[in-house]
Amino acid sequence: MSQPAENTSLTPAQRRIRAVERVVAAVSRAGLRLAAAATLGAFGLVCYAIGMRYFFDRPQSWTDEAVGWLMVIIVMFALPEAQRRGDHIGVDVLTERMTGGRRRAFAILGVGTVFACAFLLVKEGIETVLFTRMLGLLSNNIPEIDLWIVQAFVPAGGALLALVAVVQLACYFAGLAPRDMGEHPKDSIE
Amino acid sequence: MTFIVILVALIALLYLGMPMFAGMLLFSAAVLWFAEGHIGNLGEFVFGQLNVYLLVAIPLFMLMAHFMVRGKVVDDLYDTAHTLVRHLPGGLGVATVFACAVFAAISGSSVATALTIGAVAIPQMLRYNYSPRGAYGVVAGGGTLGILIPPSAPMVLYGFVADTSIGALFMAGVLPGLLISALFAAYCMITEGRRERRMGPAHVRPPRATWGEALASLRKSVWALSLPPFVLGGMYFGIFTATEAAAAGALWALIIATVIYRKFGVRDLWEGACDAARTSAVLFLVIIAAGLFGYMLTILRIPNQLVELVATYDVSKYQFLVAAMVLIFLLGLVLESISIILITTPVLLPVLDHLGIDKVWYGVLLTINLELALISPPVGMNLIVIKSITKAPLAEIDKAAIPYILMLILGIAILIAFPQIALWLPQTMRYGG
Repeated sequence: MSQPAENTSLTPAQRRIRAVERVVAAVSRAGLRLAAAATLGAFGLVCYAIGMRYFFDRPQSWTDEAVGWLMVIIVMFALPEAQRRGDHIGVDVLTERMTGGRRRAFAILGVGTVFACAFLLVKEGIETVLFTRMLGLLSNNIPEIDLWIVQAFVPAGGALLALVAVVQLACYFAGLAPRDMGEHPKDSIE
Repeated sequence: MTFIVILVALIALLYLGMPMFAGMLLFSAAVLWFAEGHIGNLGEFVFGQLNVYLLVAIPLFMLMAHFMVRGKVVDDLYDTAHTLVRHLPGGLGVATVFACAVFAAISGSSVATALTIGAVAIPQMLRYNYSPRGAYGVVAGGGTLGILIPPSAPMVLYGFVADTSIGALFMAGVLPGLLISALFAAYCMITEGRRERRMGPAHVRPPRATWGEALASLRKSVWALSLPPFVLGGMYFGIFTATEAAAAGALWALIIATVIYRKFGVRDLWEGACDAARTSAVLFLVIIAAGLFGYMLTILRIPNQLVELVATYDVSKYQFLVAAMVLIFLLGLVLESISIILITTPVLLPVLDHLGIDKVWYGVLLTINLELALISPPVGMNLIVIKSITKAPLAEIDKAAIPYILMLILGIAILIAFPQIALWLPQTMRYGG
């Protein structure tokens, strides 16, 4: 259904959900931009490390650790947008054949489990951050950086994922299909 | 027995349509909760699973493939292959296998290989009266080479889970990849040659390319052909680690796409980074969930029970390998390849150690078996890709894949009988096993 046509037929509650969905989508896309920048950053850092080792004979010990941190940013901040677009690896042989209410019920189950995982990531992630902060742990190769700051990307990304899942659940319960879900086929690594 | 119950329960959950990571993570957390009363320090566990330098190779290899494809560097690959082998019986099929093998060494993805080469090769083959079933089969089969011929994301994952050298795994995939390519090419030559003879004078085979034509065609693809030796050579000679090879390969690809081909802009670079980030996020979440799944299995002592079972029944190395291959083949009918690696490896690893099975050798056998999953119905991704290209009935495509399934099984049998085919190259780079 095109957006203008949908707008005329929506109830006020559905319109409010669509408005919230747009805001969350913008936040989620910003997360993906951060993850993409981190991907290019990791690419640049590894190239820099190779260049310093072979051309200047100065191996860099800190780059490996920094690249690992960038990996945390890449995954945790690209995740909400992957969820929003329905990119996840899954077995949809049965659910693809379903229609109507049954299909919606299974979609709600799927998004519900994602929300549960996101909740776990936030809860457990915060506990880890608080524990690391209490101990005052620092990074091995870049001691200027407290480790809890990097660990905080886990609950932050989890919170964003939870937000996306909540909006998708709200859409389903309001009788709407979440926008963009399944419109962008994922790149396969198989 | 416990493992089979867990496996069946997990597969049943996944068939409800929930994302793989969510199903696996919640299932493992629930079992751990019941068994131990807690799920461990999940926050620390997730951070530890993500904060791994080695795994950055996966998004970087994705970037490399993106630069080559979006920069149009690989566009002439099929034409070059066709020019070189067009005089052979089934020349179009042989060219498709050849192009798939080279593209596999650039993309590291079977689905991308089937999609990219299939989109060019299938219409061409059908135009020149190649049998439709033959055309679908060769793209389905040739596409699977993507995960065997390095670089290969599933091999990186297996190497990470099995704590095995990624460089050795990549090298071990080269000769088996070429062997299976040769099997596929020979099959095309035999079947299409027979068909051409049946067609009689109605079929006209193109003449052999002259040296001039062959050189001109090679010149068009020289940059695409330069990438695999650059990446693999760098690893083979110990210049790069796997992650560095991925970054250096991506840089080389970026230089070719921007400086030589000039068909790649900042927007393409950004889109490549976004795609790589999104795909990595999806994949790494499955890795985290599978890590917890493996931890849960260890807590339940399932790998130990399996070792005890193998010791009790005095199972030989070869008996175990055959049983493991059958199990993985059956799993391939219901699950996709990443999950199979991540679910089975932690369980089977202690048995591999107990029986003295080389982990690199097993990794190659596993990868070929995963290729089977890509062309086995109902979840064979390459079959779905071919359907999307051709709109042909899936039943027809399924039938076309059968000879290639048999050839992959033959490939596994050959490698079980002659492990040196896989292990010779890594051993020359001082891989000790």
